[in-house]
Amino acid sequence: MLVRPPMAAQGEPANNDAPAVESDSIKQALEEAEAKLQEEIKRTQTLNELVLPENPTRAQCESYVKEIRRFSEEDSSISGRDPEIEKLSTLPVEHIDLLMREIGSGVNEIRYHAYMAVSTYEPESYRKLAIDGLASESAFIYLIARHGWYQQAKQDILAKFMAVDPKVAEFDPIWFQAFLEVIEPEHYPLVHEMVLSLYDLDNRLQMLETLPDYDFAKTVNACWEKAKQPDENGKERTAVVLSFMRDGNVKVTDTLRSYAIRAGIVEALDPLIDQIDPNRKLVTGIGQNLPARALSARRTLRRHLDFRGTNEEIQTWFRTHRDQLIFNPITQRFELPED
Amino acid sequence: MKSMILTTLLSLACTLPVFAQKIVTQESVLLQKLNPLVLPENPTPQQTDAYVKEHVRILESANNFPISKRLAKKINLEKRFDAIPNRDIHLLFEQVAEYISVQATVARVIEKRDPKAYKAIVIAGLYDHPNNIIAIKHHGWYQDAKEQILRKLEASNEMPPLAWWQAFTEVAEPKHHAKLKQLFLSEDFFITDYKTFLEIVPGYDMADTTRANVLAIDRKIEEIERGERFGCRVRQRSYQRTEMAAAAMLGDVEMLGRLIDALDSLEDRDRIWYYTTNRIDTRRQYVTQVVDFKGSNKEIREWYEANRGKLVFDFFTKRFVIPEDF
Repeated sequence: MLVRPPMAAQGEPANNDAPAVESDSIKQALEEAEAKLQEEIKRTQTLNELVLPENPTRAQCESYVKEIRRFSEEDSSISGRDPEIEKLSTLPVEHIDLLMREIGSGVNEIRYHAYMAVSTYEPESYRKLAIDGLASESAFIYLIARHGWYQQAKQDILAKFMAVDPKVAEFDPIWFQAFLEVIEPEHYPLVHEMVLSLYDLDNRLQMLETLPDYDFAKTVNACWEKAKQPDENGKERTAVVLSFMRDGNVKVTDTLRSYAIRAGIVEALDPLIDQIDPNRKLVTGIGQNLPARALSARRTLRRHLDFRGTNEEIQTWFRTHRDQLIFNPITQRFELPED
Repeated sequence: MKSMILTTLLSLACTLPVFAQKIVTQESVLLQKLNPLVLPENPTPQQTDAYVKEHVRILESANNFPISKRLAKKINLEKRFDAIPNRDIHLLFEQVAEYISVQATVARVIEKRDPKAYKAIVIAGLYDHPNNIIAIKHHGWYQDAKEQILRKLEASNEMPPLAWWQAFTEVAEPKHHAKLKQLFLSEDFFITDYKTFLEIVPGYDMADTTRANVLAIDRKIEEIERGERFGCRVRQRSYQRTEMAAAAMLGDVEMLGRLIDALDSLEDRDRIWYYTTNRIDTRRQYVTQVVDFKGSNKEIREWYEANRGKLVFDFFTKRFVIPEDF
């Protein structure tokens, strides 16, 4: 039911009330902040009082780490300046396995603090622990990756990959990177199948491209064919060609498409040709007065087509010769055969 | 039930005139201001200029977001801009580039016109009216406008908008390569988009520019450290590493060394932590993709120190190798 709102209902009392309510809420917020600060100061003081005796026994070290873990868990925000890190790094090096155990724990805060504390020790002091423990504790992969100790952990890394079903193959990029570090040519079919699962495709193609002696074009071709097909639910696979941000400032759009172009799949150029159509709309949305996509379409075509001209001329040339074009992997251009 | 319907109708009847009145008011206010503006027959360029600017001023002051199609139709906006002769078409491109409220309407006005009728005008006025680049970009008329674009390139002292940068790279001759490099290095921010356009310039020395860019970032970081420049060192370093990697992939052995040095830097020792959030260890990736040696970071550094004088870049496999004669 439509009811008209009262038009002139704001009298003076309402205006007088407003500042009173505001000052009350400010007071309350200030009090809360003050209480929080006091709590934080008290917490830090208690943590500072926690000191490891000289030449501590194993039991003392254990209870010390346990106390710090309790503190760490109370505060869910983590930063490199947290006092817990400094406290943990006072542990004698012979008890570093206690820190390694905390890295293996599933709790985010203490894992981070322990990781940062371990980083302050000599790498040699925890190298053996990290490599030997990898089979049972997969979180050690971060330490392996930090120092590049892949070759020493080769057997465990390979064993992990032999155990997974390549059709699903869902794991973090850092593990895939580790796999590529220790891979042998006999594992290439396995990698091919894992990438073909289309999981985390952008990252994986980026890593795989640099593998020497690997038939990268074959994998890209297979991915391209699979990405075109609808998935098990009959839906279009859009996720694999979505854009993503890399390194914070490099924007990669249509990653698979750009790999497909560089693998010589002429079909991948078709939408770019449509994008430079002179009859397209001049403006396609708010703030798109100089649309970047259209720019990059022309740039990509200039880079990979052996032809110069206006947009219309490029379109006509491409559509006339589309099926004759041959990809030259050296120049990375689609060229017309000489005869 | 009946009474409820009645009440509803009654309240509707009460509300409608208020809404209607409001819309009518908005339109009529605009029309009241716009109606006196009339373009005379055979207008001078000054008259057209004043005519367009006054329209934009009124519409921008009314709302700084796109005018709805419905409102544009009601105030006959398209027709008002249709009156502008092709001679002054640069005024229209300026509106498309700069004024969001009229952007879509003006774009439709331009789309209706025959490109052949304004091509020569747009190209001739390109130097004085930089927004004409929209037409050049839209149709890819770079070669036809080569002379004007090069004139602009020679007169530029700072990095232009991306559309103009693309135009420069489309028509640059070898004698302009130095100018392109100078403009590229003059930019303060991370301009990866700009760099990709340099790839289409035939014969351009990417390795040289990439290396110069790495060294320029060194200076920027120093200035930030001295407090002479505003910026973020960590982000500059991250951008610098991508540039070092690019230089290494073009065969720069010294940049490879700097990249290997960056494998372990204490300043961001917690970086691995970020890789738990679905990222890859790009530093290691950058190095392993150009080095044919397997080992830990420390071993790679030792290997580089021992072989640095012998390393040769194989442009076919895109890797640094030690030739067999050694």
